[in-house]
Amino acid sequence: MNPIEFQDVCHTFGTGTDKTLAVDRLSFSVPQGSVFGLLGANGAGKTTSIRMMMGHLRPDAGTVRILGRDPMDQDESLRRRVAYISENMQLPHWMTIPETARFCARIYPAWKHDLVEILADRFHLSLKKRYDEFSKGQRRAMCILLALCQNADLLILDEPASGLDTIARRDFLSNMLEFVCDGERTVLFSSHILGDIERVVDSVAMMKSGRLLLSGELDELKEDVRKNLEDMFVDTIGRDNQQQ
Amino acid sequence: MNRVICLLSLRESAIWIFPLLCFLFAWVLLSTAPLRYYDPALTLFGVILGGLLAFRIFRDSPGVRPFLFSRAFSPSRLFTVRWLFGMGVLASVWLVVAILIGLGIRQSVQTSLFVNGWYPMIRFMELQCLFGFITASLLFYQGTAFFLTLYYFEGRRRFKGWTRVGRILLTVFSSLYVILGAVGLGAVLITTGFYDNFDNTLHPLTLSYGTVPTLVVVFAVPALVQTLLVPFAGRYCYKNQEIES
Repeated sequence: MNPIEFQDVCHTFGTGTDKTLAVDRLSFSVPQGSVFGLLGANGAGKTTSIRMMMGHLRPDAGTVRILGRDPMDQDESLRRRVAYISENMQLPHWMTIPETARFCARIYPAWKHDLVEILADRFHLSLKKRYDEFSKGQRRAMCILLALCQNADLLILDEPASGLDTIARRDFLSNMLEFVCDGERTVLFSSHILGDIERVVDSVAMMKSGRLLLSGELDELKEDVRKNLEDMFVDTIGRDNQQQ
Repeated sequence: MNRVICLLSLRESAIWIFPLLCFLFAWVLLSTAPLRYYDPALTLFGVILGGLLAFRIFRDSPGVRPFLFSRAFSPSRLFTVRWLFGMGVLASVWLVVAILIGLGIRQSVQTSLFVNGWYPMIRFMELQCLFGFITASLLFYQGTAFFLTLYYFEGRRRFKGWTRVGRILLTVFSSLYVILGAVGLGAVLITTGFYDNFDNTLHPLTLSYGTVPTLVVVFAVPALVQTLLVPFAGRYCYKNQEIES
């Protein structure tokens, strides 16, 4: 069983003449223990797909399965096993890192207490500051810290490194690799920064206008086309533009 | 898990509710006028308390919603526990007001500070002021909770076919509710105005017989109906709403 499975999933926003097809017959699966990169330009349907994975949006057609279950069931035992960072996620403004950790520790049995201080130190986050006293990048780092300490089976991260500086981004990526090194955990993340994705992912999927253009293991794809990820991305998008 | 949601609700609401409660309890003890069946000031406290409490508990900023709605509790649990927390706070406040009046604490303050001669005759009769306080706080708590939940639900959801008809009906009923509420408030102001027409030298809490059924129909029944319906409607909205990322 793959931790994430999409089968002919469609989603439309708006009604009548304002209708926009955000996701069009999307099918892909993410293998267990892999780091999966979801690529696409703005409006490609990445965030919509991720929202459907989290049960925040109901698909119009097709099936979504997360850890073998339908996320729309909103089952609490499933939610305990999934860590999520949305594109614009914020925490309650008054929360400090220890307060947030206490909050989360009560609802996640596998919470890693010892990791809180280690990660806070690595991301240069003060334990005394409130969420609204942090800079934009530090707030993002705090969200990443929570996701990693949750010790979940599956991490779903929507543009997790946006707003982080180069060093913090590198720290985040190395922590993420540490997190999945046991081969049991799975990470899906979307990003515009292709260099980041190339450095850590095993498999990628490229989306455009809600459709899947390309999907597979990164090494195999690179071997086929003999190009780096950025060139591959530009080529794939360009070829699709020409076909249209 | 329920404790976490309660603590979060407490943290969000306490800083606003605590000063209001201090002011309310001080007013209950120090107000020299006898507390009526539908005391305007106490009713106003109820309105502010119910509305503010629901606003602080149920209003989430857009960025915090993805955080909350992706935690390990279901949306139905989130709504139910928040709603029950608010009801618990309201019930505690009603109880404290009842204790202040019923156990004679207000009487002691009134007789010692203001030499109020109506006591002990009206001590237990003043408990009738709880009617207005409870109904007002319940009405505004349920109303605000419902409208906030509906706002998030409507703002994210696409309405087609029968759901569009449902939405129109809901809008019509909501508008009617607001209009009826305004009419009801007018009715209360008129009926409470009758107090001035009575000879209050014998008893300060005389009441027109027509007032009680009017107040019950206009306020108590809608408050009760709302209290029964809002948990179901709120749970449905929480479960089916679309969360922005």
